[in-house]
Amino acid sequence: MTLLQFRPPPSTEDPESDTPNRRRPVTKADVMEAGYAALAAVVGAGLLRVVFGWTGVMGTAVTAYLLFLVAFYLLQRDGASDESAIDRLVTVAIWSAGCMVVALLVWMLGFLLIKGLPDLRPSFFTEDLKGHGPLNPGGGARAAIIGTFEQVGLATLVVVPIAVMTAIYLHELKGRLARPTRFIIDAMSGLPSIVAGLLVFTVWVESHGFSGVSGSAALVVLMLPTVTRTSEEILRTIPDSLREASLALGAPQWRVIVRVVLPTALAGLVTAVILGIARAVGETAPMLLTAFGSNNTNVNILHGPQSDLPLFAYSLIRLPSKAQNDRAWTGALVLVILVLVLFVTARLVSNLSQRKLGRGR
Amino acid sequence: MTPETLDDTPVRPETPLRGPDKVFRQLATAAAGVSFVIVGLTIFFLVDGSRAAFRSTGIINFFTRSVWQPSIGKFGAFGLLIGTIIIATIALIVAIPLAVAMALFINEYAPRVIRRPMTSIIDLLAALPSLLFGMWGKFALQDRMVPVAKWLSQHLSFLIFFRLTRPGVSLVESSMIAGFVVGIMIVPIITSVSRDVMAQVPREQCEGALALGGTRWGMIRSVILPFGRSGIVGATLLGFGRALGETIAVTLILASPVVKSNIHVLQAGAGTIAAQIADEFGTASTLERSALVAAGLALFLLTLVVNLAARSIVKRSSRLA
Amino acid sequence: MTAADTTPIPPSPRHAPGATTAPQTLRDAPPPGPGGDWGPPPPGPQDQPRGPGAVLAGGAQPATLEAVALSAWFGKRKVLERCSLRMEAQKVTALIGPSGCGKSTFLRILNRMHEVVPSAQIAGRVELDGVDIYGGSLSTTAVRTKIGMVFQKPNPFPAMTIGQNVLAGLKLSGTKSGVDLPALVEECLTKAGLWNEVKDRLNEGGQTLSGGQQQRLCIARALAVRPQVLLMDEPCSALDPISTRVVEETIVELADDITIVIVTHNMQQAARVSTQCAFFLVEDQGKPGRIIEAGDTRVMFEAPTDPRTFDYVTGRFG
Repeated sequence: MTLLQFRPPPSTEDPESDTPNRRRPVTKADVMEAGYAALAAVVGAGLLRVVFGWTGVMGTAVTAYLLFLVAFYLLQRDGASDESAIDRLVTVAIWSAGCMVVALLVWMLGFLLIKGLPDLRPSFFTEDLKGHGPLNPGGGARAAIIGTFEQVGLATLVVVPIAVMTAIYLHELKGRLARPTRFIIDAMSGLPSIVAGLLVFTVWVESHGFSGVSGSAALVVLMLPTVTRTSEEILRTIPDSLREASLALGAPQWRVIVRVVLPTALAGLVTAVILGIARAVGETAPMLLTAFGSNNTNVNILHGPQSDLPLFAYSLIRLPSKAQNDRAWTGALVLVILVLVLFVTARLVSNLSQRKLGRGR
Repeated sequence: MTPETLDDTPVRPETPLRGPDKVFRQLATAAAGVSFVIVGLTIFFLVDGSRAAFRSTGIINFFTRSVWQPSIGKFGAFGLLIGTIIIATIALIVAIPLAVAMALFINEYAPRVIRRPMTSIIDLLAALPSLLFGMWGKFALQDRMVPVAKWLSQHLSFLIFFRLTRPGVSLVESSMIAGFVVGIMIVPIITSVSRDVMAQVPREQCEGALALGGTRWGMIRSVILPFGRSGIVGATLLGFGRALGETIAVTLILASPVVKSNIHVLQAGAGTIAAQIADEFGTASTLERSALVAAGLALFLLTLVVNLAARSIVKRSSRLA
Repeated sequence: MTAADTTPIPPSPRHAPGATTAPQTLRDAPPPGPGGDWGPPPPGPQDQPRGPGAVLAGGAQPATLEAVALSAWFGKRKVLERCSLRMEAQKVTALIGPSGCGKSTFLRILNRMHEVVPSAQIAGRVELDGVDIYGGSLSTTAVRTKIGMVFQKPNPFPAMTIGQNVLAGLKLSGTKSGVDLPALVEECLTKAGLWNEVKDRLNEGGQTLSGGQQQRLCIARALAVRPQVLLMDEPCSALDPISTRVVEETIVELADDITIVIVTHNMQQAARVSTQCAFFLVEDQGKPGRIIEAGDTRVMFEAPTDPRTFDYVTGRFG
């Protein structure tokens, strides 16, 4: 899973100001809209039918109807009426694309829920896999959960200061090495995650063995460019007038940054970090070569192979037995829930801060 | 600025860095230096780690042959390289129409009320772990794709890559399915960069096209897409770079990578560098590990070139805006 | 201020017909009362008992600022040509002239803000009570605490409450005030004419204030570090007329304790608040600005020496 991020975290972007709404409010025949909506629904449902390999009418019809309702309602709310037939066709196609993406996401998460929920019991969090082979039901992901928290936690602790200070170097201090640094960060951000694992392996693991901390190191390599770049974009949004006001009060530059710029940027930076964490918890490939995984709970991050949620799910899903696979699904579900929680938290943080700063203006 | 000079020579006022300012600047410079160190280490250790394999099998052979025999020390990653590129290309073919349509949908078509949720959905897709995509692709999608593959192999077999080498060959664990899943994974990247580029079109030009009595699609076709073309190309390259490096989703779907290149994308039997590394590393001998590192080096250089090209294209297109 | 200064100024016979008469300074105006010319007065400094002057005078005596042959460049482009000006202590000096003549640049050289721009260069000298601020005996940050600045667009710190904003300068400059902090907050807000309006909400953010209130907050913030000079760069140009008036009253009140230099576009404002004036002008497109004439405000407006000054103050160009 790449950690590529190309814009400020979603929360700092306002779709309303981001793109001018070029739609003209034009009235049009309801029939037209119903037709478009129906077409979009049928196309979307038809595609799903082919892919699903559905037989019978029931599933397709229900899906088509639901899609139609949604599309028709939305088209009604915000009309679109254009002359040529091609334009209508394109509208239908684009709406279908939108419906398809949503449907795919719903399918993925729904499938995960269905496969993973049954085994989700409290013991899943309190037991590890020791002694729970394919024939021995029960067991849990305790080792994996502890591993994820330790590895990602350590990586975050290391990444945040370095990334923020690098962003400060680039934007606030405008150091002489700024251009080469940006180039290097661009180069790093495309690094395939498996290569990050290879790097840590050849540098450290080869001579010192698998360990959780080497997994953290790989995560650092992967998180650093994204968090740095997003942090720099956040700093860019702080108006220069604040820096000027601070300087005029007699502040040395470091106090301008630490006392004024960073506190003002705090919400944005927190959001950027949380999103970086959300991507890091899902990284599997580099961990194969560094933390390696284990059935036993290893609390010592510095020594010995350590499990984490992605490794847990990955290794179990590749085994042939169904019981193992079921555990994998539950582990993946816990992982995705974790990602969702982080994602929502990031959103909340940025919404709260926007409301706080936007008051009174 | 000495008091004696009252002549009119411009002088830059001196502000020597004192105490905490100096330390702060040094810390920040050190932080920036960390990135240099990491990239330097990467290049050095990857090259160093590959030397054993190159010595054993020859550099030229490594990049032109398709063989993987650790016992006799013969390694050739050509087939893996081709496989990586094939799957990434399939991913692009799947992703580009979907992503550009999504970008247009969010920017131009979606009513205000669903713009924010749609943007969140795209961002969520970007945040979901590739493990999920791989597991879903293998257990939910794969079997459903088989009828599609069968249809393609029967009706479009004039295209060489849709042909099957023999009639009853297995249609799961194919490049096609892996490419499809990776394609969905790279949609968010292409969508968000394309959106940013397309949003920079000057409003007057768009409204001008509409005011002349044009349709929305006409405006998009004549104003937005030409304007955003290079940016979308850059976005596509970024997605391509991402697809080249994808490991886990591909590994899960391909089940066991195949070293020989295979242009018949509908049938089983494909391999990528990343999948090979992920699969073989655990059980590899020292020499084989060196070969895997060498393959990783090749992948690194390939994605590096693609990414840097993509970024410069995107930067140039947004500068033109 | 002599007695002669308080008499209303009759229009000069030298003024061209139709030109505006020299406006009265604020010091001459009758205090606004209910139903007075300016409507009900907002709570201003004159309604507040002045805090003990000793609190503010903790070492900060108003000082004289003198610029000697000041020239300024941005890279190769020269923007100021040998400007000399003496800004007297406890007086308000206005820098007037059409836009683009380098008034703001001149102002920013006075507190070493000009050099924040990487390509900025200067020649000449600036002396604060005889000490060259570019000489090295004072650090840049010390200069800026002694010579404060209020900007055109109010810029309170968004991550701080109103109370924290006032005290921000102390934290930022590292000054240990040794003074009861709440008393300092009250005193500075009072001097800025804002205390009554915010005394119950010192813990709220500054974003809820109106533009004029925010600007007064910035003034209070600048005052808290006890500067000897206060520079103001068109402080009222972003404000509505009522807020402008309150800020002008504040300036007049402050002048007793602190030297003020104000850049203003608005001649009438200059005439209202200042006692000294300097007229900046650019002779030609692309040429650097220079001080054409400087002196007593009344003299500048009634009997300027230079014909270009006369043209400007009578509104022939602007």
